[in-house]
Amino acid sequence: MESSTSVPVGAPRFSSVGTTARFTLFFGTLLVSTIPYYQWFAEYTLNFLPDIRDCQLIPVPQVTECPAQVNRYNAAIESLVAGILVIAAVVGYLFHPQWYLQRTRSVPLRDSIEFNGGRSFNLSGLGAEIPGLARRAGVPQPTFWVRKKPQSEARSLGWRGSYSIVLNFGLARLHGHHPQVVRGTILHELAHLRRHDVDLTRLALAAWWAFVAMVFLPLAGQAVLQAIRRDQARSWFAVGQLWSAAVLLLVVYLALRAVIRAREFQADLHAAELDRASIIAALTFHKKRPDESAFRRLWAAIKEWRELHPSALNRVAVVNNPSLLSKSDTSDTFVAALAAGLAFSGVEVTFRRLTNDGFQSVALAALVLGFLFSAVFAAWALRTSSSPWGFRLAVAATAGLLAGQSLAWDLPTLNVSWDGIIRVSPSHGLTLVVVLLIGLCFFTRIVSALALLWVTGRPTAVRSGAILVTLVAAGAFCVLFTFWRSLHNTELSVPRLFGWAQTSLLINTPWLVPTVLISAAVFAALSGRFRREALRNSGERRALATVTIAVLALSLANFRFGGTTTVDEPPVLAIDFGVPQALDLRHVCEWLPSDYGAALGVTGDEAWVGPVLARSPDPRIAQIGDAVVQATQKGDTMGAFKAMTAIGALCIVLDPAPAHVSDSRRISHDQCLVGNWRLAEAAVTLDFSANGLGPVSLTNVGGYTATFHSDGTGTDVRTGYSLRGAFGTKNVLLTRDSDARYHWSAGHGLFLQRLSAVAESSVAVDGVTTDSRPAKPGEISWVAYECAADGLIFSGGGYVERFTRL
Amino acid sequence: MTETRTVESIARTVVEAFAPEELVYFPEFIALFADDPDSLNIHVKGRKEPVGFGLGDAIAELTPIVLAVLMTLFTDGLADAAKAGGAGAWRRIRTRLSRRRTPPIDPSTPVPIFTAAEVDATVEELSRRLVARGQSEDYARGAADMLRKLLTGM
Repeated sequence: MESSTSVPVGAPRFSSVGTTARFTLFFGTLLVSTIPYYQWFAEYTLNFLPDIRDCQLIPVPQVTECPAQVNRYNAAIESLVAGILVIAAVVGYLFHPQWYLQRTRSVPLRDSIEFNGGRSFNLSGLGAEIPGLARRAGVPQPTFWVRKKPQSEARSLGWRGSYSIVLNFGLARLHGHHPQVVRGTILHELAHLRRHDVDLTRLALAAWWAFVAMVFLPLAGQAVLQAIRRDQARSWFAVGQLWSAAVLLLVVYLALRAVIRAREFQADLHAAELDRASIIAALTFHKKRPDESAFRRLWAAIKEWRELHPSALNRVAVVNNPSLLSKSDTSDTFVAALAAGLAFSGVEVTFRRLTNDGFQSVALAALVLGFLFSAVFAAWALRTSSSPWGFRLAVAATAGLLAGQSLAWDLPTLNVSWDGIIRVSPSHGLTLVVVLLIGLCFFTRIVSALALLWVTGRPTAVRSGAILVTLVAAGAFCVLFTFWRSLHNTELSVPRLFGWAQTSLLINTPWLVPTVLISAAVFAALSGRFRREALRNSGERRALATVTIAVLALSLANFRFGGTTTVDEPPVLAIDFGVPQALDLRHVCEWLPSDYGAALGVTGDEAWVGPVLARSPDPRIAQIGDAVVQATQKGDTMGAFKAMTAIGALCIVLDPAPAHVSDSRRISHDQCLVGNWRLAEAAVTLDFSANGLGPVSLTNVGGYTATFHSDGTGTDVRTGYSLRGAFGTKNVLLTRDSDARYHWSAGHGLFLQRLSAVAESSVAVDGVTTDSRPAKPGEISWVAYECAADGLIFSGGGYVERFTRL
Repeated sequence: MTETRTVESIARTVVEAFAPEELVYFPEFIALFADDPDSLNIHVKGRKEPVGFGLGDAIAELTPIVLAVLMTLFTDGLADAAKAGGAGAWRRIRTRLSRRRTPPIDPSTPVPIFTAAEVDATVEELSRRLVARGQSEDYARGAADMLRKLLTGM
């Protein structure tokens, strides 16, 4: 049966519901899952980040041996392979129909079909009915083929303008006995063509196979290779990589499954609009025997998860009640959340490379993932015109997000160790979970409200509404994820949440408030046509009002109380805090964690490492330490990272098997300092430009007592202590009368101090307090020192403090 | 049994006894058997076409299974047919990789006398496939016993 070019008539009115969210979910999952991979891949290829094994970065000419001879050509070869795979995927997509027809030895549908041995069967009745079915479906008649197989199966092939439908011989012959079954099956396939499912599904499948070939297989291969090398540290790394890769594969597969299953449901619904009895007959023709044993039933349920096609039972249920398809699905929710959790850190790191700003990178990553969430849930909300989320789905989303974060790429800079959080601080972990859960529930209500505003009084404007609601709702999710992620990063305590929220969100993100306000204005303008009475006294209206009031209240509170954010506990450092007892290469390599380069480059919090290294007796280490100091003074994060990478190369080349085991006993606490000391004299030069002054030399008024304990803790009791100076005719008083608790380390003439509790100070010019300077817990400072039996001197650029022993 | 035993007659006898409602499609299956015997190997675990109807089972159940096990007995080597388990699985993998097609078989070919081991392997395979398709053990055993009798001529 050749295809005709007849114009379709009688195209059914069919509102496209159900698949937009799933397609968004699939491609969003694919995108965010692969971003971390390609981020590292691009960095290798473009030399964006130095490789720890890259010998070009070793600043010392004596090193002649390179650890792994990794060069950029390897990455280029991988790129070539990836390119070939992409071309192969495109070629496969284009030539799949031809290849399939040849492989299956399908023959064009004629009035009769011939077999070996002279047997022939009449198919004229089927051929005569097909043009009418195509007209009813509203599609140009495709080319029909027959495959000599006994199953009553059919499938669609080709691309737009060149579609084919292949009928199995078993189905074709069924027409004589059960024409309704054949009619229903063909209408289902024609619905696929009308909805362009063939193109889109093939595209999704091509993307899936490209993902497997270009992301999963190299990752798995790399992990296996590392495991074979039997390097213990790298083997554990490999296990983590494999585990992450497996999760990645599962998530993308589940998203693909959601897409294809949604397409099948839609094709059934489309066919049911034309001939409901026929599609029901086709779906119920093969009656499955109920499995007798519970184990078999369980196994069948598990296998259902593997299937890309929904079961006949589910399909009949959707045909009988299409609203089932519009309902949100727990598994889809979990997949979306898992993908977001998996990718969050990777996307964030990528943005950090581009923006070189920690908070903006978090916010941008949250925006990307917010789009994924909002697109999925806005689509559901638009169709149901109600909240797509109950508490059950919020739990699924929270669980997915946390699991995704925990299972993200097994790099300390990328994944979030939830087990570590729960072990160290269960209350903090619980707080984070509750904040996320409540936030997801709350913000999805906003999505629902936006959807309701849009669909009220306009039943057909689903597509444009989906775009608009998605864009606006993405902002809400962005706020939630930004807040939540930053909450985790800084490990805030519960009482400080409010202060942090208004400070970080409203001050540190200047673009956020205008964005929210502009979005709200645009939305209000566009949604002017909805019927206001429909919203009166509704929960959605109250939710919108609550958010508006909350934003305004936070803004007002910020102006009134802003700038007092503090936290109780310092963040965990990537590197053991302190000066190592020995600074030769072996001890330095043991002291630094194996991933310190990445940690420094990402967090930028370890600037104090430079001065430590600069005191090494080994000139190579000292040279690198100086490079770190200079880079951090200039704010050159990448320069510091490169220098730290160089020392990693040194460690690998000259000390091929460093322990890389964290051990605080290696940290030096010069026992000379242990005891009680009284400040006798202090002279400090500080810059008061922020107060409208300039550099001011200050001397002490009174003194304070410093106590250094042998376990590395210390206390300054500074009651009534202050420093006084003058800038021109203006008197400056720097009051530092709050006590300070800290951890300390001293050795090789370098003193390090890390605050454990807040140390307040304030500045007064001519008796008027102009500034308050809180020092945050975790803040690290360093200074040179000289210690004797009865005297202790701290000195650094413009800073001298002399103590006497008590 | 005095009439000439052929693949077609043996299969028809089993189907008449255990699935008479499938006889209406018997000519179609015989035609498929003569044209491409491999087409009757319908695997339970076969994947669905991504853009297909997705529910298409065979229009008959017993007929293709009987014909498929007879095809295996005839064409895949009598020695192989007697092997069980892993060897059979390996054979399927090898066949799939090599894409070798079973040559067409004339269903009216007279059936020779097979060894007891070959018959045992064939009826066991029939029984296994029927159970795998969800048939009861009794049903499968009955069909297998009848096939055994027809193959051995007893």
